[in-house]
Amino acid sequence: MKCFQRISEYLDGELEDNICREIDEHLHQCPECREYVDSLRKTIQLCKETAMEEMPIDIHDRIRSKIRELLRM
Amino acid sequence: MDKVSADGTDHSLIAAFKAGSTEAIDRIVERYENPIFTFGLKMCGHLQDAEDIVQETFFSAFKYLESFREETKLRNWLFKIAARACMRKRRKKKCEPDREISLESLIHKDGSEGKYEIPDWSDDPSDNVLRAELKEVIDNAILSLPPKYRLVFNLRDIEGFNTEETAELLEISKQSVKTRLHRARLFLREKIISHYREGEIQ
Repeated sequence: MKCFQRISEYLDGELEDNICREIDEHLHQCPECREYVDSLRKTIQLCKETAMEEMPIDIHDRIRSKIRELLRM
Repeated sequence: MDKVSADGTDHSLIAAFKAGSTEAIDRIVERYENPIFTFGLKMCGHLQDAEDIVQETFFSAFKYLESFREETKLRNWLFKIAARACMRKRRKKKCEPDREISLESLIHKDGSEGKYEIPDWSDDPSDNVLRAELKEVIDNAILSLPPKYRLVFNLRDIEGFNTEETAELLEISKQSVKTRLHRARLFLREKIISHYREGEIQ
C-alpha cells in the first residue's frame, strides 16, 4: 500500500477527500492493510484510555502553597 | 499569529487575575494542574519532576499573565511553558540523548500476517490488575520514545492538541509534527505488540 506513511493523517482526518476515498477502497479489499490500520487505531485508543494521571494530594497541596509563597499572597 | 477566540471561562479568569483576584489564581490552577501534571509525568517519568514542571509552569505563567494578550489560548500557552520546562529539565539531566526513529525498521517489521494483536482496554473494575499492568506497559513504552517524539505524541494524542497547535507550541513545522507523530505511534504499537508476544501479560 502506497499510503502507509500517511495512515496517521488518514486516522486523524487530515487527508484530502480523494486520498481518503482511495485508502477506503483499498482497505475494503485488503485485509492485511485493514489490520495494519486497525492496529494503529487501537494503539492510539489504548494510549489515550490509559493516559490520565491523578495528582497525589500531597503534591496538590505543595503546589498550592508554593505558588502562593512565590506570588507572596 | 491569528487572533484565537479565547475560552470564555479562561477569558473571565484572566480578566479577574488582572483585576487582582486571588481566587482567579486558584481557579486557573484547579483547571489546568492535572493535565499539566499528566504531561509532566508522561514526559519525565518521575513524580518529583512532574511536580517541578507544574510549579515552574504556573509560576512562570502568573509572572507574565498580566501582559498576556490572549493571542493564543491560555491552555496552549501553559503547555508551551510546560514543554519548555520539560526540555530544560532534560538538558539539565544530560542523560537522555535524542535520537531518530527509523521508519524503515518499523515498516520492515510490519511484513507478516496476524502480528497486530493488541489487547483491549477493559472497563470492568474486576480487571483492575490487568488494567494496571497494561497501563504500566503503555507508560513505559511512551517513556521509551526519544524525547522529541514523546513531546509530539503527548501533545497530540494524550492532550489532544491538533497538528497546527502542536507545531506552534513546539515552534516546528506541521510536517515535522505529522512525521514525528506517525513514527511515535508505530514505535508504540511495536512496543505493545512485542510485550504481548513475549507473554508478559497473559
